[in-house]
Amino acid sequence: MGNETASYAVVLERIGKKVLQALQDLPERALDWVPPLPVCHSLLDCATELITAGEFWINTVIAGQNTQSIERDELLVVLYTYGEHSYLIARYERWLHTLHEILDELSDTCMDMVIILPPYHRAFVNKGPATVRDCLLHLIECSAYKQGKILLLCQFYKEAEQLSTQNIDQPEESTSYQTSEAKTYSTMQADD
Amino acid sequence: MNHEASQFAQELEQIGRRVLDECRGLPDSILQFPLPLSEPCSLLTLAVQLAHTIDYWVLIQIGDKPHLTLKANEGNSISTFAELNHCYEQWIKNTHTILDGLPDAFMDLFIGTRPAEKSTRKRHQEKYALTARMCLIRALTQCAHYSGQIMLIRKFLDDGSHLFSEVKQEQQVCS
Repeated sequence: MGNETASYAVVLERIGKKVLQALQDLPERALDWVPPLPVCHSLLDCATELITAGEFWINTVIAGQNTQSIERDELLVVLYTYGEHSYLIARYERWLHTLHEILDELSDTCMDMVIILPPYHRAFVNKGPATVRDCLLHLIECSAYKQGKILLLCQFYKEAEQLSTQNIDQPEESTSYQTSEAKTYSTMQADD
Repeated sequence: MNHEASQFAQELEQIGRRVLDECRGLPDSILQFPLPLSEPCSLLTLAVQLAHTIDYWVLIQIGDKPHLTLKANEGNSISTFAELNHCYEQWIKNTHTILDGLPDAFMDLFIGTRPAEKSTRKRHQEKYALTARMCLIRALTQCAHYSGQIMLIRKFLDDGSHLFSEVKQEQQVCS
């Protein structure tokens, strides 16, 4: 592994783990939460998008692999058998494994190697022919961008849940207020 | 072919310009509007944090510049889009000045241990030395992270104003 590829692998791994940790800190139902915004996906979809982008740039574009494999079916089995948290963990672990498998084999001399991109993706990297480095820089930027969004959405979810818990607690408070008010009223009646 | 460091400068500039585009046209009061979170943040505070990130990773760690775009606590004095725009133009210029001429051989040098007294971003201080490349990757990652949050908040604000205009229209119809 070269110094440069190692640096990119470390950063991508860190982003993946940070996102996974933030999502694991939330209850499972939060993964299905869709923020109340036009064209917005659930947290699970956002987290999956992050890995899909990584798989596309690393597996398909840089390594020239086909990401449609039997492993995807195995992951779906995990999803339906063990739930979304387990699915995410399995998906992230598999992604981090393949990320290292591919980047660990790359030497620094490969970084300037020109890559032919699918037409739709040419606009995403800098002008001129795209190199392996262009693709990795784009992927890091794209992943960190998604990480920022996901972490903020997790924060919104947590705080909204805290607020709703407080709202559930409030009637109890009002009940206790009514109770104390009732007590005062009954005391007054007793005094009369 | 571009030098590696100048590629980073281009990427950072693109992020900076995208953030400016998101903030442009909004009233200053909306830029300063604190989100209802336990750690209040606004579009402006996030945008200023992005500028601090550049100051720390590019200007201090790589450029070893004595004069930063934002002196310690100066970020607090940025309260309008005009000031933010000026600050961003400054860091974009400084970033290109430092990175465009940096030879590729510099990227593997261990440099990232310079003290951060000049910056308010002390939490970014590393316990171990980092190469110039790692410093730039950190800058890119953190800036992209902030830009993701800024875009999301902008989306919330846009949706809010959309709802507001719908309510206004309904009120007009009713009256």
